This record gives sequence, structure tokens and C-alpha cells, in this order.
Amino acid sequence: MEKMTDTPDKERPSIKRYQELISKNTQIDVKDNTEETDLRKVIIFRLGNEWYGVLLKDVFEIVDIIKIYRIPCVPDYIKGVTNLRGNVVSIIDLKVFFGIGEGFEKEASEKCIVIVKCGLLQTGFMADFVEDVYSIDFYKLDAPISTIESEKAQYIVGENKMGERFLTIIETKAILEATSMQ
Amino acid sequence: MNILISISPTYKFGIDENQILEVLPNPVYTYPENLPGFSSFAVEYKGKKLPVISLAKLTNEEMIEDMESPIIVSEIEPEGVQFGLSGGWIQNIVPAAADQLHDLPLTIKSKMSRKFLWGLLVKKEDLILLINLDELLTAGELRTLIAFYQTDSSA
Repeated sequence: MEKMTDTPDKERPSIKRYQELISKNTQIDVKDNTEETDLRKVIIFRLGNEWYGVLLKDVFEIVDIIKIYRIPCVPDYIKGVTNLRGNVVSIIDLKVFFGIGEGFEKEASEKCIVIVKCGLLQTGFMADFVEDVYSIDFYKLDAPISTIESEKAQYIVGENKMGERFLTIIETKAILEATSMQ
Repeated sequence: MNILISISPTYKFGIDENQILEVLPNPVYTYPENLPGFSSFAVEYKGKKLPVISLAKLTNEEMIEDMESPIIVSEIEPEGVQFGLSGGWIQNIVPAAADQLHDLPLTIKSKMSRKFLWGLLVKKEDLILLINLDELLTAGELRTLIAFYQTDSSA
């Protein structure tokens, strides 16, 4: 059981940034939704060299990589559990879940865990870097392309081009339900 | 409830003290011919030969030298079948208050290929995986263990 970091929370500069990102959930969009738009706040993070997003409303908290305790006899994508201030949270590695290769990371990493919650289901997604919150027009999302294994496409809301980047929006609820079913 | 803490290279397990008959720090090893497949050796215990279950094997953990670790003797209820357990170094026995005991997250509970973990003990920053020794073996493995005692006259 290796401890991934020994830096106390209060000394980590990322903590304040994560709190600011989560607080954007309460801010109002400048542009209201109309019949032609379906703007939703999405938190954007990087897995390897690929960019993913989850609805901000599904994000409970973002924390630095903390001590993860491995659990035997579970699928590879379950990295283990963590003790988050007395609450036990399972940790999922989406790179393994989606079959994304580690690849060579072109950009600097600031590994963290995005804690997501839908109803009673809660888990943490490992991320290599959390960038920011963006308003994404869900009407303009494209269907998932072949970068994701076909059976995993059901966990994708859609894809979108953001500048030079390709952004994949994840269906958090579907992943939580699939990983919690017998 | 008191929990015996057993540490392997990868995991920190906890076992309810009430499920443990005895801990053998220096066991006498024996190798009966009809040992169940999940056992590599047995130990002498009160005139019987107890097949030893390797936690490392069950958890697909990188093998440690089972024969260097103490053997925990337990009895599966309600069948009353005894066995030895190897695979960890015993650290200590700690008290567990009700508010320190947590259910496994649903993600873990639903995806475990073996159901021998019943919960987690949270101690400050530490987290201990709680094993139910009665659920360590599958139904088929338990039948094999019972058959061992029925056929091995020396057991």
C-alpha cells in the first residue's frame, strides 16, 4: 500500500483551484438556453492525451491523488478505495475502463480524483489533469467515434471539438450504474 | 469487537477475533496426498492435519513465502470445518467501534469475484479490509475441504 503523496492538504495549491471549479456550479450561465441551444456546465479533464468532460452537477468534489487502498478480486479498472475524511469512496481508472492507452503524455500532469455522485451512487474518477468548467451546447454534440470501444460507447453522451481538442462527454450516471451492478 | 490485523505486501486485512481459534507462530508442516487443490500444505493442529488456505493465492497477490508467516486456525460455520490460513504477518489486535466499521462501496461489493470481504475498518488515515473467514471458500471448495476430512484417515 503505497502512499502517493505526503503533502498536507493545506499546502497543496491545487485544492483552492478545485474548490473554485466546483463553485462554478452555482454561477448562472450568461446565455440562457433556447430552443436551439442546450448549454450545460461541464468540467473538463485529461486522461492520457485525451480530453473528457462530466456534467458539473454530477461532480461532488475534486481532490488531489490520495492514498488508494487496493482491493483484491475486482476488475482492473477499480483501483481500490480511499478514505475521504472518514467516508470510504471507490476509485475508478477511466483509462482502463474505456481501454485508453496510457500513451505519451504531451502535457504536464496534476493527477487528481474527481468525485462524482448520482443519487446514492458515488465514486471517484482518476484524472491526469482537471482544466476548467466550460458551458457546452449539448445540441451540438456529435455521436461517439471509434476512439472508444463500441460497447463502451453507451457511456458517452457525445463528442465535440473545442479548438484543437476533441472533447468526449461522459455519461456519469451510466458508468456509476454499470460499475455498481452485479 | 476486536480485529486481528494481518499485513501482506499489498493488503492490510482484518479478521474478527471471534472467528479465530488459535494462531500458530511456529506450525508443524505436513503434506497429505489428498490435499485440496487450493492448499499447498497442511499443518498439525491438536492431532489433526489442517489444510492451509493461502490468502495470497485467493487474492492473486504476488506470492509471498507462506511458510514463513504464522498460521491462523479457524472453523467455518455452520459446517464446523477447520482450516489454516496463511499469507500475512500478524501486526496486532485492535478494537473496532461501530462507527469505524463501513460497508464496502457498491462498486466494490458488486464486482468482487470472491465475496469474502464484509466491510472496511477505518482507523484515522488507515483503512483495513475485513475478511469473513466463513466466506473465504466457494461452495465447491468447501465441499472439497469436507471431502478431505472424510477421506483422509490421518486427518
